[in-house]
Amino acid sequence: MRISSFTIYDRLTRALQENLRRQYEAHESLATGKKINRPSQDVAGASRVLDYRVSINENRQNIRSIDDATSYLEITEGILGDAGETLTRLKELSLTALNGSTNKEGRAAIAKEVKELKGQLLSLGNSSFQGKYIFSGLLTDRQAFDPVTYDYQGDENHMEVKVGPDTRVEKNLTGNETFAYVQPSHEVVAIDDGARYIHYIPGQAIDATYPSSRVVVAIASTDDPSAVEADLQAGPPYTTVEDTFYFDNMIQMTDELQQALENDDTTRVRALLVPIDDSGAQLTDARAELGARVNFIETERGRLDNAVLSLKTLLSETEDADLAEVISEVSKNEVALQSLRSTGAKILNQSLLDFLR
Amino acid sequence: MAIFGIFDIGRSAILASRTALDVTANNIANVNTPGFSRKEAVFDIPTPERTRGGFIGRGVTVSTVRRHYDKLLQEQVLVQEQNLARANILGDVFRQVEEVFNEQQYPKFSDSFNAYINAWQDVADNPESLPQRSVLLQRAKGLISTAKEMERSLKETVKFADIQIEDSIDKINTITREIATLNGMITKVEAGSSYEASDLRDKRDNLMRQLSGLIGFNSFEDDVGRVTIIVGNKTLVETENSFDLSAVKNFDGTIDITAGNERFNDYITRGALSGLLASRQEVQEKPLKDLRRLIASIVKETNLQHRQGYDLEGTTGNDFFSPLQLFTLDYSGGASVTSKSITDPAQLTLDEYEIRFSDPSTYSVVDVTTNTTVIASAAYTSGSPISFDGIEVVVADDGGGPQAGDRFFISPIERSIDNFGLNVSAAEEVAASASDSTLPGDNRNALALLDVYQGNVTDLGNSFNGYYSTIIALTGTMSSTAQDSADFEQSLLNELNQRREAVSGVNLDEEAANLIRFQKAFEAGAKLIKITDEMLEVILNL
Repeated sequence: MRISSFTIYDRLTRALQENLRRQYEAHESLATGKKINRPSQDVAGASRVLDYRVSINENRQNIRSIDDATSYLEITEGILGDAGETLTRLKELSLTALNGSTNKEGRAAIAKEVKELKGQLLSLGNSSFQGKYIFSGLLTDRQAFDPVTYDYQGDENHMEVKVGPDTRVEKNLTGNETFAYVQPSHEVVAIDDGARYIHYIPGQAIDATYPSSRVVVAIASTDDPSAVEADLQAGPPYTTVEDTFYFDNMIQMTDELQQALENDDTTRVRALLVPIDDSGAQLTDARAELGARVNFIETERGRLDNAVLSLKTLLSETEDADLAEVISEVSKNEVALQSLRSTGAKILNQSLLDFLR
Repeated sequence: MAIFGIFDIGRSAILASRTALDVTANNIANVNTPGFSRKEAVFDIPTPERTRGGFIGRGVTVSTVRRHYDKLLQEQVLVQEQNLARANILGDVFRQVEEVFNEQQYPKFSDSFNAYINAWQDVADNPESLPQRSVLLQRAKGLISTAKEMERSLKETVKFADIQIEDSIDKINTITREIATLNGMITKVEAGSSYEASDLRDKRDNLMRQLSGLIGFNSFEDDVGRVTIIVGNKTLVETENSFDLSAVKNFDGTIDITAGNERFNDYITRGALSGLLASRQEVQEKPLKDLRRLIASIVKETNLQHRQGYDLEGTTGNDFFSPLQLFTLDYSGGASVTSKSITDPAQLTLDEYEIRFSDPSTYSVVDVTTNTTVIASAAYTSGSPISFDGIEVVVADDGGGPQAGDRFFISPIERSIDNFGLNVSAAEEVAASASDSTLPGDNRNALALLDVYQGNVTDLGNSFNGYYSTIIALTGTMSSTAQDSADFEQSLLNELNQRREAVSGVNLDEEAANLIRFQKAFEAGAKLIKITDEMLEVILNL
């Protein structure tokens, strides 16, 4: 084939271009640290990179939600612990008050401490975290318990938190689940050697409109549940019931205890011993439930952390440049480019004209 | 033969060598001129003179200056240049489009969208708190501006193509005019002579090469040396006349090419112009439409779920984003769309439709995205609403009424990014709750929205992120395919150019050798005259 001057020049420039282009791509990889710098370099890889990034982002957001929920649950657990201690103290005080060596003045003094404990329970029940009341259900903008009547004013709803693609966890316990318990059935305890009986009656057995957590306590001369219930339903004056009171939650229960002590009514104090125990049991159950939830989301968090880590590894494998490889590519290109330049300079410089004198 | 005959032979040798030196010099001068074909002085023997001893030559003449030229090769180069020009344009445009979706270097939609989803999850974690809700609104605004920015870039690509199309048409017209003029000059120079107007031909060839960069054409030469240039069924150059192309603005604002009032786009199959037309169409029909569909789907699904929720004040039924709006285009002289609305967003498919008239009183509705018939045939009454798939459109007479073949284009996605905006204005209006009594801690609607964002969407057949990933894959494939084909066409052209250069290219070494050769011949001719002079001297001194 005939070679024209243009062919030689054109060949050389194209070879230079090709080498420079490779060198540019290698430099780009070095600068960005990535081997995929635009989707066309690896279409499938770029797609996968995006999927990984979306998954990493989702997992991280779920971890954020978990951390948020964890602190919420831990704070709740702490409050329940404090409430448990308060109840233990109430139990001790009640027993001291019933002790034969404690007189009327002693009980009045105990009443004062019980009042303090009631205040403590109220403030625990009305605890707030990040500006919302923890035990109000979804009515988080109001206190769970009325500071005057101690009535529960939240609702029974739970707030779910997304902690995984299809996993949600309830993060709150309502006031009724923690500071109140449901009397399961009518219970009768004999006192004064069987002369009188204390009846613990589920409120709704008396009146269906009562809150489900209402416990009606009646001190009666009979141990017949239906007679007492009928008596209470009919209203005063009672035939068998000597004394009756009720409470919807442990704050109201503590209030009853305080009043009984102030009034020196040892029978009522005696009648409140069982509810104090039941309240304590309720708190223990609630704490166990919280503990289980914290455990669950901590496991979930560990799983998500691992997922993020392995996704990041996959992401890096897909899009990151192998620096050693790129650098060796760069120096390989460098050599090719240099030899091309020096031979090119020689070829382009020479022509027959140079030898004509 | 007289002794002066040697003078003549010497003179002819000097003249021929000088012509050959001229040709060589011209070759050297044009070594870098694109399209130049190497010339060669062809020496010839003049009719010999009869003497007593037989025939004796009478020196040398230059019969012609030959142009080293392969017509077939030249034509192949032209076609290949047309192919390359198209491939290069497609490569350039798709590379730009790919950059719009290049999440590898500058995170774009994916980042904004995921930040937006995260903001919803933060609201779900703290539904009663305003800061999280305000952040959500900011993230939504971020998503909106990212989408708008991406659409703007894509539209700019289309606009840029339009500008280049107009520009190319001007260039084509200038070139065809010049070719027509050269046709005339070549015929005049070559008329009645055996000489080729080689430099004029080279110039014309060069113009044709420039033209092949712009538009694909076929050409042939007539018996007096004039080329005819044909594109599709239109003649651009014939004898000494050229015919201009013109650019006309379309109904949708894009540029169409016409020749003699006839739409010409589809005849252009090669050259930069065809690349521009094809890339413009591809961008509009694929990535731009897909992006609009994605945004339309986000707006639709978000609003459907958001409407079910309740905000902090207990209000319900509100859209989160500004609702989708229909876009219509009338292809009719006698009727127009007078009103259009989306009656039921839940039924909306995000497909595009056409109402087509088969005669002035009968229409059908066709889903042009899936190419299925929605309403097979119905009687047209001016002003009465046409309803399908959650859409209601009113077509009314606007002059002579619709004619057979008239159509009305209806799209719920065309303006989705244009109208992409926030409907809620304050943080309180974010409907995170699923309960009508104001429960500030209720996050059930926010959680339901998260499920919408992370789950599959029927209209897209994918999740939002998944669908976006397919757009990236699409633009990446478009770009890499175009790049590969440009590389392929380039190497084909290089090969052809090399072969053309082998025939027509100037080699300086060769020319230098020729210089010496003809210089020596010149010197020898001069010597001849000197010797003859000396011989004459001898005779005169007798």
